[in-house]
Amino acid sequence: MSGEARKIFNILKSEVDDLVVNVSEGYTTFVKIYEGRSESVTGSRDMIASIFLAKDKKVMATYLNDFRERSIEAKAKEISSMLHYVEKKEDYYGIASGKFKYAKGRNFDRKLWDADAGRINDGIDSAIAAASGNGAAKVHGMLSIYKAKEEIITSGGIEAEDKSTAIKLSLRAFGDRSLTGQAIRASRSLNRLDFRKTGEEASAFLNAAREESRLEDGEYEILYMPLAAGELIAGVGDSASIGSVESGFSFLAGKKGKLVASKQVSVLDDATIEEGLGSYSFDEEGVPSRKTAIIENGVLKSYLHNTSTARKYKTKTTGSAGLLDPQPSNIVLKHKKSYASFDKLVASIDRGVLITNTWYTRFKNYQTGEFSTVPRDSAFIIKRGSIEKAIKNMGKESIGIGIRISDSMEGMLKRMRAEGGETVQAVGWDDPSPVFIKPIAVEKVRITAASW
Amino acid sequence: MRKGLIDEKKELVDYAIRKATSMGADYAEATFESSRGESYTIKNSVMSGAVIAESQGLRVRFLNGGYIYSLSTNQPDKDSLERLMESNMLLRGEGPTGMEISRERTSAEYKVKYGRYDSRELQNFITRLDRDISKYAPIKSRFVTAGFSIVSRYYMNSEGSVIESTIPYSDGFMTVTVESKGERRQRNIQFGAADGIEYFERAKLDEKALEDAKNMKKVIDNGINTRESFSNVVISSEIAGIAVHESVGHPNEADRVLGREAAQAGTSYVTPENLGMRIGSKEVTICDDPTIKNSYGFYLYDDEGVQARNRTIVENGMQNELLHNRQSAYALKTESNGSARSTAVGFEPIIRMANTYLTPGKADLDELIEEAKNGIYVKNFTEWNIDDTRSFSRYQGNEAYLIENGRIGKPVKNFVLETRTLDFWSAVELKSRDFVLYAGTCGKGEPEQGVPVLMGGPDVLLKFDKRGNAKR
Repeated sequence: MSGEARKIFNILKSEVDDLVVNVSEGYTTFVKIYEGRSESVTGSRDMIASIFLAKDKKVMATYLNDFRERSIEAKAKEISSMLHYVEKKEDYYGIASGKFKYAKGRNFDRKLWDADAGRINDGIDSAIAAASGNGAAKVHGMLSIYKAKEEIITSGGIEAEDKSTAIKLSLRAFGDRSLTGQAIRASRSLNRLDFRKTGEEASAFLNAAREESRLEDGEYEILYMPLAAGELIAGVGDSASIGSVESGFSFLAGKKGKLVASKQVSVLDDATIEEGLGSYSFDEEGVPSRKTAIIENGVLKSYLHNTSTARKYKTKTTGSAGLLDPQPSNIVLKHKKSYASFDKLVASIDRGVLITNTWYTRFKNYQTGEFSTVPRDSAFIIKRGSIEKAIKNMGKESIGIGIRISDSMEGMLKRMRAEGGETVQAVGWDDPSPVFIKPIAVEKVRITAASW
Repeated sequence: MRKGLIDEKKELVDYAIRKATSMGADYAEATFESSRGESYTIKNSVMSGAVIAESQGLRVRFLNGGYIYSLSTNQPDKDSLERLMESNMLLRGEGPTGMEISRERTSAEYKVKYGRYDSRELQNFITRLDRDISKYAPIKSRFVTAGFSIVSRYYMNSEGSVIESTIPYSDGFMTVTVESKGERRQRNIQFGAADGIEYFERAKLDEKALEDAKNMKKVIDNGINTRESFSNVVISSEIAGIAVHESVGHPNEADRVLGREAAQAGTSYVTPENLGMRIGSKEVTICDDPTIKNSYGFYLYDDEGVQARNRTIVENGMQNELLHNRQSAYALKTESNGSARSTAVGFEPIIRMANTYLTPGKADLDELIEEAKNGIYVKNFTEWNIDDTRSFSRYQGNEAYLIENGRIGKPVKNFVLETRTLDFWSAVELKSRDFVLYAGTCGKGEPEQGVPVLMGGPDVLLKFDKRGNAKR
């Protein structure tokens, strides 16, 4: 990048009251792994300007990827013409202003930026070898690498730049007994992504139980592994955005100051975590990243705000600005009852179900937070503190488990009994907000089971 | 403007193919894409701001040494392209995959005609829609978003094919939340067509939202909770549509059948070994047709330059045809049937549905209800999901009614149809002649990409036998 943000800013600034120009140059590489081998590469090199502007409470967001002066001028003319008829956003109250200090280089790793083909291929090979060595007959997956440079200039006097890198390895291991396992590990730096450990983790449950059994409909204590818990808890971050609250998409609406979780549970939005894929140095209006307690000891403390919504609700920005609505960054869930190890947490469960992964979480009603979700990969019956049998309600030949969980967000948060084991950055293959979470036990969860 | 820009980039597209071929590619294709979209959102009468998205990009995709490379840049010039290609040749040795190549050369240009596109009119439309539905007091929360976009693509491949297309889209969704007696129910309505904004008027969204809202209030006020299981279930075209998409369309995508999506959007109960299996009763014929005029999933050539056609996925209950792209066609030694789609040139083309439907019958809804005699009628749904193999699905009724003595009776609040795929389709007994398609955005792949689709069919009477698992 060489001053594109400044160039756009200078051309547009006379047209508007508030202006934010954010230019990013990004490189992505996705290596698809199919049947234990790299099979294809999807790569991109893009440069894009995200532009937010407001004049007389008329608000617009736009994008530009042609940086020639004549294109920027054409964009300025288009904006000027549209501002005549775009309707006012009556509850708009401006952008951030001032001089801020930003943490530098927290999300950047030179080794990952410069990683060569040899290092990437060796990493993939070692992950596949580890999964195979642990009993995987087939391994599928994806290695994703993200590299970006970013600069921001705003009419609030903010000028900043940043660089970031990220790497994510997703592996799904298929055992020879129709059990499967998925592991997704992510990092901001090359050396901190343990390829081998990801392979071992994907195959860790393939032989966790010798026998298989059907599960009957009923209420069970569920032990969610981080990937499964992350899929569900990402919904807390989405619901905490004031944009979701105002749109009717939040189970947290109208509950500030009220108990929405067990008193043992706290949930943070933390954009400052060094390894967090959701971390950033500044949000999309240039406010430095920070930590925000969404739920503290069970009580809803704060929604996520940008400067405009914070002024509307007479509070402070949480540094969560997206281009229009506030967005979650990394969600962190902590439970005060924390067992020293995963095994001790399992040992504390008398009659339960271990869920390693889940998908297709769908809401019946966003405001009540009622949802159902479908466990995927492997699930096990826990009896008297031990993982006993693999659940197979769809027959021994199928990799499907054949059970479904129905719950509500608030109910789940209130029935969380304890956590235990390693904190993992849980990120799904379909990229919801990252969630930092340990394996977590939730009591009295309704499970319906297929009759096969 | 689009036409001029595309003309300017044709040479670059040609250069991309020559460059890939010179690097040893067995097959290469390149697409230049130019798009512009505009959308507006209103939340409970407050406008959220206009969003204008404009982009241009180039994708070059090629088969080289048994690997497929799909590389893109939104800085479409020779320098960017060369750097992109040089920096992404990562894989070593002989790769494991291939593509169906040496198809006949094709030349085509198509442009979907549309009536109107006017920014002010688009904005006025959502303001008016929000205002009209706000008049019904039990609606406590409203969210409406709508937009218009137009996508032009210029495609060439090393077989000598050249395809140029322009497709407009008018689309959006709305959510209304109804409250009565302290209880809330929520309805999401998605809409979309490859058409101008006159589509919005034609879709009668205000009438639809108000009708659904009034019925939701009736369900809250007069609905019963039941723990009964029902053998006879009448589903509307909306339920038939989501079931067609989730439990037949997806599992018949050949990449899932082969396991290529196993770490992402899942696997399938259809395998290379059981092709031709029985999926449903003889009443079940399910097609996927991208060529329906002005449909949301419309295209005439796919993203690999293969001509689109209607695909009969299930015929008279038997699995008949998978959806293929060039890669899966190579793996299963067949021909692509034009199912490769990508959200934009920044994504790899993968196997997708377009407009998927259960063919209609000859009865009408009253006959279905009468034939059911006692059971339940499910008119629309809220939450739904399905397992990784597409064998065990669930549709949560938002509006459902008892069927008593051949007539529609009391509303039911808590009906959930949770069933095995093969039981569901084996239970199809009678279909209506009425036939409706619904818009959706289908997600798949990593990074996840959404494409516009339609799904639907007629109203259907399902008669589950004793093994059937139609739960509460």
